[in-house]
Amino acid sequence: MENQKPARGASSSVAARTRSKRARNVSLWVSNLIMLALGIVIGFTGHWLWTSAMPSTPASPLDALVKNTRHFKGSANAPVTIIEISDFQ
Amino acid sequence: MYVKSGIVRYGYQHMAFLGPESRWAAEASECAAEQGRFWEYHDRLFASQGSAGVFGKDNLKKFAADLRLDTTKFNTCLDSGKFASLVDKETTNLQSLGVESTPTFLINGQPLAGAQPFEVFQKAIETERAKKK
Repeated sequence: MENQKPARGASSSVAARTRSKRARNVSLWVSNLIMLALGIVIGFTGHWLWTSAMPSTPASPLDALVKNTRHFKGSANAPVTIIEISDFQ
Repeated sequence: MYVKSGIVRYGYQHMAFLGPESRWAAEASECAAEQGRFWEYHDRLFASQGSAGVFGKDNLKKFAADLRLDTTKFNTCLDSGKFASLVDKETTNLQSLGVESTPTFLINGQPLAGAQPFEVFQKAIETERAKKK
């Protein structure tokens, strides 16, 4: 560490330069992080739009039926989906 | 068994077209669903199927009490008929899609009509599973 007491003007300008350098680094980091977050958000939105616009199976009234089924049990990732259409009586 | 092992996701839709008791039972199951207990109530109803009159409102309330649901909330829900239009809507939608009898099962969209023996389901499930591999 350099001695900061004497030669006020000179050392304070050095300190100021270091400070502004640090500030620049910080702002660079912040903008990097913002860009990264933006990238992630755009990526996810794009993926979501893509998957919702392009169903993996051809659309039919029966597929629509799965979507409006309100009661499910079992894993959402299960390879087989069974819908029971019934009357309790 | 297939549900627990993560192979099957199992859903239910109402086709309550056999008269008032059938509609009340469907509404009652929605009242149970409000308390997060749809499947237990569903199983209880199927276990009690049979004679006419078994799904009168008094019995439906008794089932809720048996399952230790919040009976005040359940009874108010059932008496209010708040889910009647929802059940009707689901039923008419299924009829418009050409479902004619109950039960009908859709296995990855393939219809299977009637209460078939377990082996039939097993075969259909395995066929669908093989397609995904």
